Amino acid sequence: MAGQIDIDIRKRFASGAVVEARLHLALEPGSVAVLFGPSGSGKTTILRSIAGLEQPERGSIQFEKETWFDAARGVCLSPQQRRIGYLFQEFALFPHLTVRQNIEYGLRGRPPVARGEQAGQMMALVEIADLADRHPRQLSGGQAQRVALARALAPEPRLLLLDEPLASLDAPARSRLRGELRGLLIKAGTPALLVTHDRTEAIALGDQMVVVAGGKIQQVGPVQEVFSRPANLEVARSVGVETIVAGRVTGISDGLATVQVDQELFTAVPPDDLAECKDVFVCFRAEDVTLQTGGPLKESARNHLAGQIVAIDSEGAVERITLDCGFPMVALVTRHAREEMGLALGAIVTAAVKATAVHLIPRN
Amino acid sequence: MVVLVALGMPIAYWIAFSKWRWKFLVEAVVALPLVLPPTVLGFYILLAIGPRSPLGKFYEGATGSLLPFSFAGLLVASVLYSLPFAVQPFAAAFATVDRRLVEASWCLGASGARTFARLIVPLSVQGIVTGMILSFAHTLGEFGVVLMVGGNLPGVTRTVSISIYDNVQALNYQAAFQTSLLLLGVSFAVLVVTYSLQKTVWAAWPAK
Repeated sequence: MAGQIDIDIRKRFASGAVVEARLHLALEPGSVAVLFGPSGSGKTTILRSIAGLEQPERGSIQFEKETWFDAARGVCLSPQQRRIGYLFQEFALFPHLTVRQNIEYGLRGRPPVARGEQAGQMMALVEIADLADRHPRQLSGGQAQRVALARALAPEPRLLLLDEPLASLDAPARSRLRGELRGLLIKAGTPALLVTHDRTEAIALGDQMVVVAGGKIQQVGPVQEVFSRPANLEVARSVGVETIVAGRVTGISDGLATVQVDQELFTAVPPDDLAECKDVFVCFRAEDVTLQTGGPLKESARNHLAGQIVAIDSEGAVERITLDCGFPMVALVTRHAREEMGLALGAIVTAAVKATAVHLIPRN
Repeated sequence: MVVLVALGMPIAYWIAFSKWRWKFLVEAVVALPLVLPPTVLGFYILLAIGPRSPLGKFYEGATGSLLPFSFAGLLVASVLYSLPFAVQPFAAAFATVDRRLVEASWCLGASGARTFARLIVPLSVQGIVTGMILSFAHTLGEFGVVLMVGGNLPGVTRTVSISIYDNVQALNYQAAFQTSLLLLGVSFAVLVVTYSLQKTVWAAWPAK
């Protein structure tokens, strides 16, 4: 079954912040949609509203044609009635119950034998059968997460909601569990909606991506598309596009746009709705920039810019090099490559960017 | 005691979880017996349950006897008087239960009542025990309310503290001394148990 979820809600907080979300998502079984945005953007509010833990002032929420919330008609199903699974950020395991009792907690109404079987299956699914009699305080972060997942999935929810499922883990456990969690969600086959502010997490876990910023939904689409073709400036910033500069389209010919930024000219593949002579933002990711020493060579990349290295930040094997080309520009280079090329602060290099990697966002 | 728990738990639950904006009014009313002179409270209770009040008439019609100066009347009075001693520890304990645990329980399909029984009460054991002991100890020592409502009928409504008062009035210091010592001992023991329990419970059951 595919879960179709339609949301159109508005909630105002005492602080004055307003969350306004309009969203239509088709969730395939085993697929994950990511609500992505900086903290305070309203993504958790949206998730909690879907769960029924928070009540928006206006609007409606429907899941598979079933109304969960409708302010106009005074309908608001309780979390119990919505039959969802919710994975809390700190897992919220019940401290006075064992792992098995935690998982069986949501299985009331089934005969004890069926309850035990279902709990057993869930523990097998997340591979924690050996922890059945432990108490939550005896579990590591990663184990607690598996228990929480098994507990949420045991009552066979129609939709699984995950609130920053990896945020409370330490860094090594987080990177290990990212991949595992994805596998578990596919195995479980329950459509899932996940909230995160972490880009790596969004890429590793999501099929579809919903970008939330400033209390509004900014873009919905496949994860890769959102990352390479952000719809507006806020999305570009929040998905971490390193270079964003203002420019002006000077001409479009043969399906390629020429954009003037400062003194430089960029060639880019324009989006369909770009009219001529319009102000735009020129965006590209640091990993799409290559660096060369010596003059421009004949090669396929259309954009070549000379610049001076003003900063080198190490991120382990990869280094982030900031150039001054009249405007700041960031390139990602392996440390090995940088050492081989003898690049240091103050060196003049040529940066190359393919036209297809340059994304234009209309600027109003 | 049983009445106190049965009455105190729902009130405490409500106080701990309600988001009603006038909640503080109810909290104030429940806490009122803490600051009100017992005679004032006793006087109002006497009026409220007396044979001329609706409540008193109803009780008289239902049971054929009068509330004031009876054990039942005394019970009503002492429950009201000791309520804050039960409600406040209960509410404090309920409020410390992590809100997310409660929400997790709801999302697992557990109703409010089931969440209360399976989650909130087990996690508040300590506060509940404290409330029970404190209110029980308080009931033992009350004086003014009881005198107003219960009178002083030997074997029916004479409580320990009133018997001390009587003995002192009758210059029977020996008996007063013995009963006082008993009361002092019991009160001290109750508090010792309460405080030691609070430590051991936390040590054996770290909240995580």
